[in-house]
Amino acid sequence: MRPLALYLRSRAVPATATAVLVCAVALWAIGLVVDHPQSRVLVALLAALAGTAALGQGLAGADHDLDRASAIAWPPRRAAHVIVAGAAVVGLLAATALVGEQMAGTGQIARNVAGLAGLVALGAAVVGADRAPLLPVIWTVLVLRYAPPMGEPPTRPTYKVMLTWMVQPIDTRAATVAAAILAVAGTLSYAVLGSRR
Amino acid sequence: MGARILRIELRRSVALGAAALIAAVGVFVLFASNPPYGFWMELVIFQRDILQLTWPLALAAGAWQGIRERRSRIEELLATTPRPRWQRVLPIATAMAIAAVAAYLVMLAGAAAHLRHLDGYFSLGAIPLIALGALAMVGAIWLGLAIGRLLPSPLTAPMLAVIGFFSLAVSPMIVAQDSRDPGTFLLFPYLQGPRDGGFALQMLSARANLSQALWFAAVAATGLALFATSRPSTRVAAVLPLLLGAAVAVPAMPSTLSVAWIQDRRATEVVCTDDEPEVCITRLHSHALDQVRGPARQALAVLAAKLPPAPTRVVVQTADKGPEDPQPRDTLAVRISFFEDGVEYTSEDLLFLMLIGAGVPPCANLMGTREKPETEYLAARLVVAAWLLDRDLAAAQGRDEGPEGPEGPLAREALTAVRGLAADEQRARVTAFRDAERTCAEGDRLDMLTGAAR
Repeated sequence: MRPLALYLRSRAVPATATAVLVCAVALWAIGLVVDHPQSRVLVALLAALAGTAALGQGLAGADHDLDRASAIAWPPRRAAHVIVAGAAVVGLLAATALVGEQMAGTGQIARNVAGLAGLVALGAAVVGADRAPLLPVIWTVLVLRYAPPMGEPPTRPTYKVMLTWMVQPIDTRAATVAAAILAVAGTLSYAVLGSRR
Repeated sequence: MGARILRIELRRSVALGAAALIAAVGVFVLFASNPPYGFWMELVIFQRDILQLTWPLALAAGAWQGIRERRSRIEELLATTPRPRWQRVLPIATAMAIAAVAAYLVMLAGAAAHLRHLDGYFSLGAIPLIALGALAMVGAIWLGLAIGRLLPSPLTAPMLAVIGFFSLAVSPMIVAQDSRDPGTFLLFPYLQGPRDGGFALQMLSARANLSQALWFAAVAATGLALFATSRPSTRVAAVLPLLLGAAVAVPAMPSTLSVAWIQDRRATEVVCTDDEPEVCITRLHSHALDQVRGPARQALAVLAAKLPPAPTRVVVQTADKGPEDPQPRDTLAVRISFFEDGVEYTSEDLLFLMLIGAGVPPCANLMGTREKPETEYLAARLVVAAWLLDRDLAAAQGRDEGPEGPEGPLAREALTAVRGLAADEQRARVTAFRDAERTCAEGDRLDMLTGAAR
């Protein structure tokens, strides 16, 4: 148990968990005042973005060289870290439905968190853990501005649906595929490469 | 000394990278979310509108830079130096401000490629809008520096970005909007264009610009002060500019946003060619003067040859204005609504459009409504144009009126009938038609052209 506790502390998990919890509470609180279904989905997306962005800081230890030098099989552990963290974010955000009317379907939250967490992991592998949130944040910004009205069936060509996966309704296959690709690619690349220094 | 440190800070900080990223995001959004802009003012207002996205990004960039010392673990080291903090941080604040302004201007320059007429009318009212946008970006980046310094956590920058989007992009959607937006909306960094459209012909009043400038400057000053002070007591004082700015700016703001938008009178003035015969057009569309000059003079020549006495001057009116007063007889008034839709018209098309109805604007009392136009009246106007040009009706095109519309077959039939008459009779009838059009007298125009001989 003690190694696990030490690992969690070294990866700033308490701070991250607090941040995700705050996101969930904020999501619940905003849900009390926001009625419009499109706005509710949008707020849920932003909560997922904030929750996954908070994961970035935990993807690297305090000392890069020390991690590398130690005789620990990192790849499965790194993969487990991303998967467990993503699942925790989904669980916390979806749990807001227990104490109030749900903001967005659990499926949609899970898809968005999976894709965004994959992006964060990819960001850690490509630009380093502390800049990792840059990727999901920029992508979401670019999509938010001219997103189709939330919840409407997609009418655009498939590649555009895939590029705007996070704002598509849940039964859009292309969007689900895009999120799954990002989740797998991000988790794999982070597991193999680890955080860039 | 100062310049050298500034250069080093520009190179070693996030300033240039953040500027490039924000500019790239902005250019992408400006390109992707709209068809090409018809006028400079549309682009300038839209760039202010997307501060919804770029302002939070600048805030996050500032926060990222603000936690640099914590990230490098040299906070305590620097705290032991005798040099006062504000002297030490002024270069980095300057570098970040340069980055913010550069990002805004580069964004504008990049998006200018998405303008349909780069040489189009550049309203003086656009200059304060651009300057205030850049000032808002400086405020965002300095506020970010301050927040990053006060909350030095790796989470600060991404959370600020998300919170920024939420408060700027999502909350306006949530707050139910009616057409009477309060003037205090000017406290937001982004600016939405006038509700009634007509972006190109309006500008923000001096009062709105000034109160907004004061507020943005207050935000920037508070951000810089919070970032530069080291003692908690001075930090409290740093909030003062913000409070003062709000106290002055809020009462000075106009009561509603729609009052803040005023007509740009310069845009609707007409500009004319220097040489005779004069061809005039509103300044807003002056970039099209070269395009219309040739057809306009041709139209005058055609009218002089076939339907004297002909006008000697052309005024091209555009659809932005309501029905005009009747023009004097020596003026060919052409009302053209097609500058907005981006269709490229050839000189032939323009010439035809100018001669529809013998160059007399259509009469509102005879045209019918847009839903149920008076087909016969419009057909008669087409016939006259084709007669003047000795041309068939298949060649020309037009958006509102033209052979493609429902009046096309009717007009072709009538044209054949008119050409079957004697030459003198043809001219007499078209002249009578023009006189009737000038006074907007009631009566069946098509019958006037093709009816039984009187």
